[in-house]
Amino acid sequence: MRLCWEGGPPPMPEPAPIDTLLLCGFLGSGKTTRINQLIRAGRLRNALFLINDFGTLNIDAEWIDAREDGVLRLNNGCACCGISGNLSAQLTEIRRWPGPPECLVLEASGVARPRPLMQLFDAARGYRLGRADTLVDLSAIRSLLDDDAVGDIVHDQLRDVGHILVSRYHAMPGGAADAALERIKAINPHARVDWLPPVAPPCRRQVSRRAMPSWPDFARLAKPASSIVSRTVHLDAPVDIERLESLLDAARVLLLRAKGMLRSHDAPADMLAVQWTAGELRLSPLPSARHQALVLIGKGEPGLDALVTCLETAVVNQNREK
Amino acid sequence: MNITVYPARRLYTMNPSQPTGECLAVRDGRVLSVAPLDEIKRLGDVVIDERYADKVMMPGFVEGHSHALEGIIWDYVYLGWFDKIAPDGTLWAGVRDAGSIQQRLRRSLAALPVDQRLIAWGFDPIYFDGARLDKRLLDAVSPEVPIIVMHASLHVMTVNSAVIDAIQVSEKQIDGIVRDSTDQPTGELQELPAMHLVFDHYGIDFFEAASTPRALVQYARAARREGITTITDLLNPLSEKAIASMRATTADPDFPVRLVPALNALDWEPGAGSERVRQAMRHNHDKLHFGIVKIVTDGAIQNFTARLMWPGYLEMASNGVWNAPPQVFHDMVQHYHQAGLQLHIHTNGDEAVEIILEALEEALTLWPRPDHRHTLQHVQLIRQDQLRRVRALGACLNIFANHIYYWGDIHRTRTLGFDRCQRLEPTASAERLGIPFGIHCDAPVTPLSPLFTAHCAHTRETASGEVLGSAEAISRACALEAITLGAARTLHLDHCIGSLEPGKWADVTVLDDDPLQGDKSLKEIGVHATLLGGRPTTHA
Repeated sequence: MRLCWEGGPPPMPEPAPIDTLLLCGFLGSGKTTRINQLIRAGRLRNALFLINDFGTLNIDAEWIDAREDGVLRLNNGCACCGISGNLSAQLTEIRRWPGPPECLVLEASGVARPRPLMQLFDAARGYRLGRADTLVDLSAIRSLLDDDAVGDIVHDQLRDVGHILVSRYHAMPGGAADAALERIKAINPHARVDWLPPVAPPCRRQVSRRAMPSWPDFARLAKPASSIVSRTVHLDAPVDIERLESLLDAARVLLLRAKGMLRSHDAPADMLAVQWTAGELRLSPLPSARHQALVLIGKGEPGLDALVTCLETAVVNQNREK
Repeated sequence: MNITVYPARRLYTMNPSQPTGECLAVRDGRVLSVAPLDEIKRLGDVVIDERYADKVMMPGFVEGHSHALEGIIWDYVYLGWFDKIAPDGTLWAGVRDAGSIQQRLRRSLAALPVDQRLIAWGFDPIYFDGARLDKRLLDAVSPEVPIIVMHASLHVMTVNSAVIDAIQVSEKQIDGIVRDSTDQPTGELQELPAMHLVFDHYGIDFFEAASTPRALVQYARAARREGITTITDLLNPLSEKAIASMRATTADPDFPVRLVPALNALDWEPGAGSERVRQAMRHNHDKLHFGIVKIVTDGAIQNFTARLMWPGYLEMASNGVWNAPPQVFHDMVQHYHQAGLQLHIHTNGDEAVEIILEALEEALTLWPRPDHRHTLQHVQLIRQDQLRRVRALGACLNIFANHIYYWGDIHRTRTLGFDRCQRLEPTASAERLGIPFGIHCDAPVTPLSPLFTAHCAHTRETASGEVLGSAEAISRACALEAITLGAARTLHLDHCIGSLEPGKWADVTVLDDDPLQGDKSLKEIGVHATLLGGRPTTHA
């Protein structure tokens, strides 16, 4: 039997529950980009963004006012912090803040299934689930669904929610985008699918409009469970950096890292250190270096050899032709 | 400066050049000599302390994988299947049927202060075939006082009607609320969404409590009782509060162990995590050693949450769980390796081992580093080809050897089957391949007891008395090395602990009997005392 309040003053009214937006989606699906969009749009007031993706709190610097005890105070009245291990304890604590947020945006971990989290916020004292979205990188969704290690999680992330937000479809051939969308609809025919507008990449360098050579289909050369091999390419001429980045990005399915020292075609007098990880090419001055070389590390010999050939013929030698 | 000499019946050093001795000479907290007394006297004036003259001395035991939660969990009522000893030395018999569970709860209830809730831990449903712990069983103890029984996995709890009513369970729609055929909650609450209702209502946070000085003192006390002189808390938040607590506690000259906390990498953005470890390392002293990082990839085999390769689980079609996307683990390995820190990576299932080996192969191809000693933890199901890759990478293993005893029978019949149980905890293969390895207990999951862990690695006996995988059994001597020098190597601390060699800290475990001669099994040998830096320890 429940104990009821009998006599005495009535209990204090419970504060309004914190309206919660869940953002789910696999690693790289664009959750952080979405959070920055929401901050920029300015429609959320007194919101707390809670990030649980094991990565940097990657909030655009222009919005950050202050950083205190792991909480970023944003200049639009919102705040942002990371989940520190124990979500249960953190939700209890947030609810008890002297000025609790009106709205919570939870960026779920990339392996979180939405359904338990939706139920958590439906039931937890002091919270109310407003909406649950799953973000999808359309260009990657089919390979993720077919991945033995994570396919079941990605499937559930699509199945559980009412809204699916699709991004990174712009460079896909029409047929591929349609096929990917069909896979999604087969898993969750009832979800509303919204197409997110393209996001301008963070401009580290001028984005080129130049046409790039058509690179080999590295996906066909990549073999699962291939051993890791490395190749060292000695360069005897400056490099076309845009072509290099285009080539390395095209080979991302099998290329793990590239690093080395080279001269750029644009400024051949300066030696640069180059570091490439999937989707990011970083260059920094390296005046002490003398020789140009690039180390490529990836999975499987056929793919890496094809990459070396392209590098030698289309990225380095093409400079000499000019 | 005087030399203190402790004569012993026998002294095992773990130093291949001088494997045994007759007495231990200590100066400035370090081993000066293990030579015969006449030789020691040439080194200076000696004071002879005869208190261990009829005992056997060994290097202090090094526990390379346990949790400070051990220091707080005994505040609650133990309901596990196996007998266990609390840090204060109390023997808690295992409870093996509903009546015993109720009896223990009733006794604890009688001592409970008014307005408190009764919390219990350690209940392992995998041993209760058929019958489920439910609210009726707990209501028979008390329908009014809130009763919360945490299961051993920490992913499930069972509560009584007082709790169900207080948090209005009946009205909630959560998959983890188990219901009977009439749609009434049975009292079992599974996973965070359901358990959060209880934690939130009663303000329970076990992990926060594990960082307090009191928990650390209890933890050290439990370790000392079992002959441990260096203990690893292998999943520490490394919050400001936790660091302050560890600094204050270990600064006490009477704190009886050296403490090695590992950063819980999943709590940190990698850049901030490595920075936090670097900052903490400035506070390192003889009894507190920061510098290692823990990554937890998958779950546990007995909970059906470890990630297995083909053919998966016997009784479960689905595979286990990842605690983060595999790519996150991969990137964390690259980051912390580049940052020059040492990684300890929880990998129970063979699929978890596989993704971490790939990550380490990439990291070491890109940034070769001699003697990195990244260590794979648990590695219960690691395959022979994976062991060879571990050796090729120069990595270490810390093997969950006592698991054979606690869950071996379950693994043979319900989770893995006969064949894969032959290779569980493959200590002999690690030895044959020359991979540096330790063995561990993972307290409070299993009891903190290096001698019992060594006994399990030597005998491979399950709780029912069956021997599982005798080809992977190791000798007593090898098992003793694994709980001393082997574990010290996995922590990169073998230059100062793990063996009794001149120059190393004089950390000693004093045993009642000879572990290498005589009829007593390793688990029956009593720990008489420990010395830390040559000084007999006491209760902190």
